[in-house]
Amino acid sequence: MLALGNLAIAYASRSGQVQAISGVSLRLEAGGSLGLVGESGCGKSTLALAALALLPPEARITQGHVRFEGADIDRMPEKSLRTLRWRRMAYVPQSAQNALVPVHSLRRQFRDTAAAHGMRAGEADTRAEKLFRRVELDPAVLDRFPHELSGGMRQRAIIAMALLFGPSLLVADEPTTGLDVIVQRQVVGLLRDLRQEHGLALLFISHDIGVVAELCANVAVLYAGQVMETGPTADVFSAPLHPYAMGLARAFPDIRFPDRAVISIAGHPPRLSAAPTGCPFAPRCPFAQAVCHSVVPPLLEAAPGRSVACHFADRAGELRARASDAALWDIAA
Amino acid sequence: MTEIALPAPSRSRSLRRAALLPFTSWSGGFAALVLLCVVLVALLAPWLSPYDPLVNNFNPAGQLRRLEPPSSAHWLGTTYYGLDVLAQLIHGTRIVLIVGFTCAVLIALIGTNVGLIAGYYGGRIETVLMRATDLAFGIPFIPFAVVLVALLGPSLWNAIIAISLLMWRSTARVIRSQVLSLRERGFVRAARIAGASDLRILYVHIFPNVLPMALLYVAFDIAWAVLAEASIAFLGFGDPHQTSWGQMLYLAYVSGSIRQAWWWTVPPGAALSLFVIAVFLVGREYERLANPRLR
Amino acid sequence: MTTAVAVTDARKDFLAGRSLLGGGTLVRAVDGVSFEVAPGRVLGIAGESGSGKSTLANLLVGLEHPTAGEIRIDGRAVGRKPDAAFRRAVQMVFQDPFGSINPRFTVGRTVEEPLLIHGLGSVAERHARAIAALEESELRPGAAFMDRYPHELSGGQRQRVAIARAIVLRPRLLVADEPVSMLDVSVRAGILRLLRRLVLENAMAMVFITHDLSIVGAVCDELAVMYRGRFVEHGPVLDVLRTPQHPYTRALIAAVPVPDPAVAPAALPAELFAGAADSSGGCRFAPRCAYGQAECRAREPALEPIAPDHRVACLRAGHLDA
Repeated sequence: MLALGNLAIAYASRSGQVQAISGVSLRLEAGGSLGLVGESGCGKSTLALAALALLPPEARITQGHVRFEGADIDRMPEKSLRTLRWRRMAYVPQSAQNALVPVHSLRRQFRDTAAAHGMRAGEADTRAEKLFRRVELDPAVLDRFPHELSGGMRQRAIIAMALLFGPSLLVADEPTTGLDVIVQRQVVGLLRDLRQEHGLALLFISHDIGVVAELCANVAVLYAGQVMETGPTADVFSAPLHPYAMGLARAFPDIRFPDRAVISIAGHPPRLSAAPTGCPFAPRCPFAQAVCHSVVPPLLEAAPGRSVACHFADRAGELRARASDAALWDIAA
Repeated sequence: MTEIALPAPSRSRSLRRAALLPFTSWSGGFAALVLLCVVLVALLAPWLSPYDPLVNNFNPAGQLRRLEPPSSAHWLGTTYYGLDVLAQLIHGTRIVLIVGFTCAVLIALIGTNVGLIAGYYGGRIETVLMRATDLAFGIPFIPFAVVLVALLGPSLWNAIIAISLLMWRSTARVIRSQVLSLRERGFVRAARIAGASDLRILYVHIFPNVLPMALLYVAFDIAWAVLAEASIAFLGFGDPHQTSWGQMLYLAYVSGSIRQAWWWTVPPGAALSLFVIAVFLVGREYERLANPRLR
Repeated sequence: MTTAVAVTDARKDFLAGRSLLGGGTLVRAVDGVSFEVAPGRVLGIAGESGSGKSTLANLLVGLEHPTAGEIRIDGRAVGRKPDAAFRRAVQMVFQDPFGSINPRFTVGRTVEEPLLIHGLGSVAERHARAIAALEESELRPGAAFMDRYPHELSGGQRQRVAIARAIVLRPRLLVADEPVSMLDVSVRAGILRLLRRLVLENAMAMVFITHDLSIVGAVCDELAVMYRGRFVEHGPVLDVLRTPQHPYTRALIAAVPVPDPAVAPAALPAELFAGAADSSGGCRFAPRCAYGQAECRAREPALEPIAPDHRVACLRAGHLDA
C-alpha cells in the first residue's frame, strides 16, 4: 500500500546540494510492518517524511515516486493531501514530546486536530477518551497540559492522537528514543497490539535493532541514503547478507550475553555533502575491493523477499563467517 | 584503532569570506560600499575638502557668500554664514566616525559586561543589574541628553557620554539572555569540573560565544549613536566647534533658511539617512552569521 | 591507596516546588548511597530517570555538595568548596559530545584548558601533553587534530576529544555519564573499549553511569542498580546481569529488547507500570513490585549480602523464585 520507487531526494543548503537519498525502493503491504534501520545521516527520517509527503521546502524529489494506496502523493496538490493526512496516514514524529503545543490542554489539541480534518468537537472528545483508555491513560489526563505528563505518557498521548481517524498507515520516527526501558517496553507493546487490532501498517524508523526486532516483520538497512539490505527481520539479523548489516548486528549488545565482545565499525558515517563514488560503505568495509570504490552496487534480489546491494552478495556466507571475528572490525582502516 | 582526520579549511579563507559577506547581496554590497566611502572620506577629509569648513567665504567683490545655491565654485552652495556646504559635509563624516565608534565601543563594553555578569551569576546581582537596565530603558534619551549637556556644557565628549550612559541597555538584555542558555551547556560544566574559576568561565569560555552577537549589536549601536548625536545637535545642544551633520541642520533651522536653502538641508539629511541605512543593511548580513537560527 | 573513591551514606536533598510563600516538597534525590571503587576498577551505576544517578554524578565531581554523608577521594574528604587538588583528581565525560566542547575552541585549546587552569607546564609542555592525551584517546596523529574545530569532527571523534580533556590531568576518578548514548551504535564499542583501556593503563577508577544495561557488561567490573535514590542491588556485573536478585533489576533486564524476532519479549508484571506511589516507611519499590508482601510495605530493606560480593535490598531476596 506504500511504495517508494527509486526515490532520490536532495536538500538545498548554503554549501550546495546534499543528496540525502539516492535510489531507494521500498514496499510496505497493507497491515504489514517495515523497520528502517540506520545511523546518523542515513536518511531514514527523510524517507519517513517523504512517505507522508511532508518534506520541507528545501528538499526536492529529484527522481522516483512515492505511491500511497495507488496514488502518487509526491506530486499531489496540498488540498488532496489534506484529505489523506491524519485520516489515512498518521505520523508520530521524532521527539514527539515537542510535537505537542505546550500551552493547550490535550483535549484542546485533540479537538483542533479533529477540526482541521473535518471532525466535530463532540465526536473528537468521545474518540479521544476511548483512545486514551486504549493507550492506558486515564481520560482525565485529557485536561492536563503536556508538561505535566511524563515522557512515556506524552508518547502514548501522541499515539492516541495519531489514531484519531483510524488511519491505515502509521509512520513512527524513533518514538521510543529517550524513554526509559520499562516505558519503552510499554509503548512498543502498545504499538504491537494496536497494529494487530486495527490492521495498521507500520513504517518504523529506529536505530535500535532490538525494538525493530520486536515490532517489524521486515526491515530495510539504510546507509548514507541508500538501501543496503532488505528482508524479513529474522533473516536479516540472524544471517545478514550485507557487510554493514553484519557489522551492525555485531555492534549491538545483547543483554542475554553480557560478556560477548561487541564490535565497532572503524570510521564514521559519511557526510552527505561530498558525493561518494562506488559503494558508500566501502571506506569502512573490511571486505572492500577495488570495484567497491568505483561502482555503486545495485540492489538485487538475493533470495525471495531478500535484497542486498553488495558486489559480493554471493559470498555472503563466507563473509559472515569472517565477520564473526571481532578482530576483523576493530582494525579495519 | 586510528581515527582519520578531515581536511581542515584554512582559517584565512574563512576570515576573508566573512569580510566579503555583505557583497553576496545587492543591498549588502551597496551598503558596504557606502560605509567604505564614509570611512575613506573621513580619513582624507582635509585633502578632499575644497575649503575649510569653518572659514567664511567671500566673493571677489569682498561680500560674504551668503546662502549661495550650488555653483562651480561651491558645488553644494554656501550656508547663511558663508561656509561651504560640501566642506562641512565632508568634515561631518569625521564626527560620524568619532561618535559612532567611540559610543559603540563604550556601549559594547558596558552592555556586554552587564549582560555577562547578570546572566551568569543570577540572584541578587542579576536583579540589581537588570533593574539598572530597566531604568536605562525607562529614561527617555533626548531629555536626558539635553539635561546632561546643559549641566556639563555642549561638547562632543559630553554628547558621547550622554549616549553611552543610556544606549547599552539593549546589548545588556540580549547578551544576558544568550548567557542564560550558554550557562547550562556541557562545556561550562566541564570547565567548572576542571577547576576554572567563575571569572575564567565567564570571560574565557562564555564570552567568545556571545562575541558574535555583541559585535552585531555594536554595528547597530553605531547607527543609533550617530542618530542620537544628530538629534542632540539639531536641538541646539551640539558642539558649536564641530561641523556635524546634525549641527548643519540646526544652523539651517536657526537661521531661518530651512525653507529655501535646500542645498544646505538635503545633503546632511540624506547623508545621515544613507549612513544609518547602510549600517543596518550590513548589520543584517552579519546577523545571519551571529544568529544561526536565521539561516 | 586501595580505594580511589569512597562514598559513605551520601544524601542529597532538593527543595522542589517552592512558591512565593515558601513551602515546597523535599525531594531526596540521593538517599543513603555507599560504595568504594579501587584504582583500575569500573563501577557501573544503572538507573532510569528519577533514580538520582545524575545527582550522584554531580556529587562525585563536586558540582553539588552532599546534604549528609561523606565522599572521599584518595582518602581525603571533599570539603564544602572543592579545592584545586580535588579538581585535578576527579574528571567527567558527558553524555552530549556536541555540547560538552566549546565550539569556539580548537581541539588543542580544549584539551589544554585543564592544564592552563592549573598552571601546569610551559607552553611547549602543555602542547605535548595535549597531543599525548589525544593519541591516547586514539585520535592519531594527535598533532593533526590540535587545530581542528569541533564542528569539523564526527560525534565519536568529539567524544574522544572530551575523553582526552578528561584524562590530561591524570585524574584518580573518572565519572562517565552516559558517554555513548548519543553516539551511533557502530562507534559505541570503540569508545567503551577506550575507556576500559584507559582505566587499566592509568590505574584510574571509573564510575560509569548509564540507563542502558546491555552495555555495562562490556566496560564495568561491578554493577549497582539505583532506584529512587538508593542502590537496590550491587555486585559483580556478570552476576547481577545473569542472576539478578532484586525484582527491579529483573524487570529492567527483562524490558531490554532482544535483537532476535524469534524470541518473544519477556512478560513484565502489570504492577510495574503503576505510577510511582508514596512508599513511606516501606520498601520504595513495593508499589510496583510483583513479589511484594505485607512486610514489604512496613519495613525498608537495607543492602544485605546474598553472596560474598553481591548485595541486595530486598526482604525476599533469594526467595523470589519460591
